Amino acid sequence: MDVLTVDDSVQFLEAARELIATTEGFRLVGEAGSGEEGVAAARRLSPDLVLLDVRMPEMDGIEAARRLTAVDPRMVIFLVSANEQADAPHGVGSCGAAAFVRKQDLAPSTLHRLWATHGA
Amino acid sequence: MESPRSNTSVALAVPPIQGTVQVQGTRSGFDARVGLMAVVGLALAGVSVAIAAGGSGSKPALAVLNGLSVAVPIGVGLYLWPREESKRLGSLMVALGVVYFVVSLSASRDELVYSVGRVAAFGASALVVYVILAFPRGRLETAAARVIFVAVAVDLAVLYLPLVPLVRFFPHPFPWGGCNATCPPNAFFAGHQPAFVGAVRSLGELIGVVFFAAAVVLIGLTIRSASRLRRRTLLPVLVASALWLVALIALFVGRRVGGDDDVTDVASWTVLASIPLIALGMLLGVLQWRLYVAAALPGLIRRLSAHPEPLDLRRALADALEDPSLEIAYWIPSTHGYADADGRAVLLPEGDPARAVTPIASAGERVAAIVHDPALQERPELVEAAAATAMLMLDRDRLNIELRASLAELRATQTRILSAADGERKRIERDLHDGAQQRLIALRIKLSLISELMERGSPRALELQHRLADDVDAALEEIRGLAQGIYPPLLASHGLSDALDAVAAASSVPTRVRVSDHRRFAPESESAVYFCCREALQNVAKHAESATGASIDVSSHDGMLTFAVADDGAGFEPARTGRGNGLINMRDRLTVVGGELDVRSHPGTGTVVSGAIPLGLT
Repeated sequence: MDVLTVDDSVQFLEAARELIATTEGFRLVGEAGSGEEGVAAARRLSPDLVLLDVRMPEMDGIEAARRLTAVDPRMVIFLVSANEQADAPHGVGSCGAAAFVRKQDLAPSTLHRLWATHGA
Repeated sequence: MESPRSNTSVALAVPPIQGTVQVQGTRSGFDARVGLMAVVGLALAGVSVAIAAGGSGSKPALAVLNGLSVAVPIGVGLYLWPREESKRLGSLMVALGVVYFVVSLSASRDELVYSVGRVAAFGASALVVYVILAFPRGRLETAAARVIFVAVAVDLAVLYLPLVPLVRFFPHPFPWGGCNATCPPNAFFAGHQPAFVGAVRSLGELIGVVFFAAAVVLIGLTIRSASRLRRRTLLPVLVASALWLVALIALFVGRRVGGDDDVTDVASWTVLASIPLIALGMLLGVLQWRLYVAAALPGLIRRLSAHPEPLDLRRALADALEDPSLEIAYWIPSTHGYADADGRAVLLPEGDPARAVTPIASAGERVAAIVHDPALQERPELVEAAAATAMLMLDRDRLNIELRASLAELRATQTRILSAADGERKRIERDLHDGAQQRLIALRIKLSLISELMERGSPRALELQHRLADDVDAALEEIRGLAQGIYPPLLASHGLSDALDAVAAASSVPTRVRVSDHRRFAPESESAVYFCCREALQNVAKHAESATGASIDVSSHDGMLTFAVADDGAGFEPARTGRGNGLINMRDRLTVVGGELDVRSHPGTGTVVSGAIPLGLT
């Protein structure tokens, strides 16, 4: 599965790089540091899965998810956040993302489970 | 133009709030000269009446009007003359009466006496134009008035006087002479030049009519643009003057066209009657003004006895002085400016011909300024006396308004501080989220990875684990830096000197720190000085590109904790640069602890940001 990660935090991008490298069946095809870059990269790379941070300056994850869904409705989007879903803005549920995951819960097993539920 | 009175301040130590307040101009008492002149004036008027009664065109009405043209201007002039502010106008009116005495000689049957009267009429017309354009101050105050007067005077001197020896008979009808076909011949006649006389007289009359019409227009404009107060004084004179000018124009045109004798006749009588009317109009205007002045203060005292609120005080003064546009600007020493009754800053009008300012002081201290109709400048002592009457209330209101103004400023500062605090909290949250939180999340993900890799027995688990220590160190550093920004631990534990040394050491511009008082102060004072110095030094690094060095000086004297951050950079123009966020932050921080900020800079001389806080020792 081709994965694109989008986050303005380099620390997270680096951790996600390790995560995907360690998770069987997933391959990192691109990284983006902002919502706009993420949308552009998704058009270019057509990934199967996008790990998209909710809170980013300028275009946030929710707006980026809406645009990505408009580009390719089959693209699977997992919104990731440092906060609980309850603290996330409205629109998380309706922006076209398949799932909401706390960043600290991300692990190879989590990715497999989520993909099994939402990806296939 | 008289200079506005805005530079003269009125010092009134004891406000005359009790008893009858009389406002008077400088009156020098009954003058024997006035009496003598009155007698002479009456005698002249008598002679005029006698000449006209026995003259060539003998009519009783002519005799009466000729007498009035002498007696009324002289009488009004003598009434105005003793008061300083109307002395000039009074002299002009007396002169006018005397000149019309000479003009009234034209009713004589004697050739020479008649001719002298006819020639004097040229000068008399110029004098009337001067008097009406110069009313009420006795001076030609506008360029338009000066142009019209000079044009009329030159016209009479150049195009009329030289013709005198060239005509056997003067043109008629002539209002003061009364003779028409029976007029005596010109005693100054030297020789006939009919063609020359005809051409020059036409030109002279044309110019005369044009400028008399211009004077009528100017009078109309003056009445239209006059404030209510001034109109009261001007209207009677200006209406009579306009009547005179229009009748004069009609007389000129009638004599030239020679058509309707009735029209010319009416014009002639109107011109004759206009002179006493103009003088009476002047008297009426001045009397109305004096009545108004006499009524103003008693009315004000009645209003003030009800202890009005600031807005009512304005209305009371406005009503008493019959100037609805009157405004009170209260002097607020703390802002070094004026404020209205609501404590809002106001600027006094400068160079506005429609407004005049009378500053009010008590015991040498500025209290307020009254902004009013410039017509009141005719009697500045009236505004001053009204202000003196209201002084206690002005002073009371000023203190209240000053309090209100400083409360408003304090509220603005509080609001800024609150929003600054909100902004600060947002920044801390953002820093935490972007920094330490993301590092801890990355740590958490890596820990999950390590445990899954260990389960698989992968050698990458160990490699990842080694790198975790660096991640933890980085997270610790993030948190330390953040804590430093919230309240530097060094400041808390070791005071300003050590904390500022650390700030200087971290700055990109070499900075010398000198703290001359090593005692500990109240934490809010220390942190205010610390953050102001840090902000100022950050500004040096950010804005003063050419700065090669900076200094921070902290000391205490006269119960104040002071600091100064100086650099040798390019400097700037504080007035043009305005208040940047950094400066507002510093000012707000200092305001909270009762301090003040001062920024001195000039292009090319570097910048000194300094501040002082009332000393609070722990």
